[in-house]
Amino acid sequence: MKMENLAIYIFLFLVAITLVIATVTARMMKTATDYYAAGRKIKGWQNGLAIAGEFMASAAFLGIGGLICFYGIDGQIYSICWFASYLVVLLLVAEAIRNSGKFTFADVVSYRLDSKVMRPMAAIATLVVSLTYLIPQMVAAGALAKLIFNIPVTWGIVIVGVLMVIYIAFGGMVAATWIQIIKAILLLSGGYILAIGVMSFFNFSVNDLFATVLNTQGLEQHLNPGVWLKNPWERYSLGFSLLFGTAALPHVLMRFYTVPTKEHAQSSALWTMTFMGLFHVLTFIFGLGAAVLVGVGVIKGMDPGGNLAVPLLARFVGGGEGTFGGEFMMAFISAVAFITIIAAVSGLCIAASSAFSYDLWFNVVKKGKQTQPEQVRTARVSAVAIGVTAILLSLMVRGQNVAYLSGLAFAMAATANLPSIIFSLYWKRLTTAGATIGMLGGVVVAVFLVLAGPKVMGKDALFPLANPGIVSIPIGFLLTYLGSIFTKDPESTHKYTELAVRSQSGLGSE
Amino acid sequence: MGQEPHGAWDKDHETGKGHWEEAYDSELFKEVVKRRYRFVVPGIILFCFLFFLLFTLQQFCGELASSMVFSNINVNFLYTMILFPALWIIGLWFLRYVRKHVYPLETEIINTFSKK
Repeated sequence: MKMENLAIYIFLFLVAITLVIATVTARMMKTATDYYAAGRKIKGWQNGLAIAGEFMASAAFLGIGGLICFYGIDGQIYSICWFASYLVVLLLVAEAIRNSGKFTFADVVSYRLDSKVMRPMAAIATLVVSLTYLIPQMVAAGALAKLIFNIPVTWGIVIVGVLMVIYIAFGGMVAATWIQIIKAILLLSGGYILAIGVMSFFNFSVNDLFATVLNTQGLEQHLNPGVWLKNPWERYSLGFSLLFGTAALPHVLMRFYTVPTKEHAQSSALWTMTFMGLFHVLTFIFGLGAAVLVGVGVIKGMDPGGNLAVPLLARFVGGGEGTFGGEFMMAFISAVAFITIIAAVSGLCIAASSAFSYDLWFNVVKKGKQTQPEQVRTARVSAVAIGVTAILLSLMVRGQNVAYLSGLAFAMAATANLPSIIFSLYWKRLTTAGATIGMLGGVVVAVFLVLAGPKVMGKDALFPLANPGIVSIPIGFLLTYLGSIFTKDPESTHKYTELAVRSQSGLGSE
Repeated sequence: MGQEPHGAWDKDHETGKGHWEEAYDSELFKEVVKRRYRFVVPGIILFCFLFFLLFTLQQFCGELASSMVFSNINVNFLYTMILFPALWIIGLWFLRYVRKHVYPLETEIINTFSKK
């Protein structure tokens, strides 16, 4: 049987399981809390697994594997930084966010500040960040579908988009969570099977794997840092963006409202670290294993982007091209990788649709006057609208290199959202004007630096770093700080006492 | 200014409204904040230091980073891999710390001020 057909059958089987979940969960959607926060019934370990799933997407599984395969151990920076970013989330935001909000991070920033200004702004920031993150994922899904299933890019994008809309419109956060959990379990199992298979070629010894890498022509420098990240500041900038940016991603913050208590919120952050750690300690085995066993030249010949490094490694480990074991392993890993994209975009879709239906429509337009069924209906309609918009935008840019958009989304979240969240929770002097200047200024700075950087302008770049976090995040904090100390907002100062008590003790939290 | 979100969340919020300042000024709350910061501040400083050290090692101390610790395992790889369990342990330590030293006080705050 051809690998493409086998991969399609496995993929269809996995899709069938996820559709059953969406159908079952659709019946549970009675209130807004059910839709946006899974009825706050998700356990700590389940939420941890779902959040870990967000960061074990195709970028982690295929992207990091390919990066390490081509450029060596430098690619591990993504693994360690994404994993470590959850310690920041655990220490600074998990409990505070759970205690002080209801469904979205806009709840937190509009608590003590003028909500007529802050809620629409936070909602628009969420929409922009989520869509900016969503589009490159969908375009990548299209490209991956062509590589794995041998179907046109357009169909790949449409399939991902339609499934995303079905999951979110019907099943809301419950479906998004359970699909993410199933995907994470599949990815962890597949990852460990693959890693054990790879290590069996090296007597289950990392030392032997490294010895083979060092003795392979062209890979002699793969264990040394500096092969990929040559600009000194790029490493610091990328690293600190990844470490601190996660605490400002709307689709991640939203997941802390799905658990019943602050204790569960904190334990879910530690569970996230546990599952992510279990997966990300393996990425060097995938990358170096592919470089040694499959060969960098072979992989580059089939996919210069490196996304096929792990599927090709799976085929090698299973027995090689033409064998049932080899084709099955490649098909399984490819299908799991594709389902990871659908799960990841579903999480982004619910964050974006909540920003529209809950923050903008329910709170701003309807001023909080909607019945529970009306709220659920609006949320479903906005999920469809966001899905259609994402599909159309992805189809429009499918021929272009949009990989920089992921970095832009991360930079915007870290620069615009993070100062407002941290200062809202921990700084009494924050004013509405300061937060507004910080958010708007942060978006402008992040967009300018990414567009003026080497990812977009190549050698003619006006700004030398592809990841501007080390410059843009401090500017975001500085703008918010300066905007606050030069303006007055007695109401915000007064209400800080409420937010501080609520966020740090849980008094009054739902 | 400072309008709040709507729904059940507001009801809870309004229930304790008159007592926020009292809770904020209480010794109990000050102790909660103090105990939390006692872990979080050094934790974040240590976290930043560990990563600053990693990036500096990789970028400016290439020879040291590439030097072998045992057989083919170099300093860079070993340090990166040690960070996984080390940070997880800090996370677990924090969770145990707040459960033992912070949550009991938080419960006391909730019991004291939600009754008023």
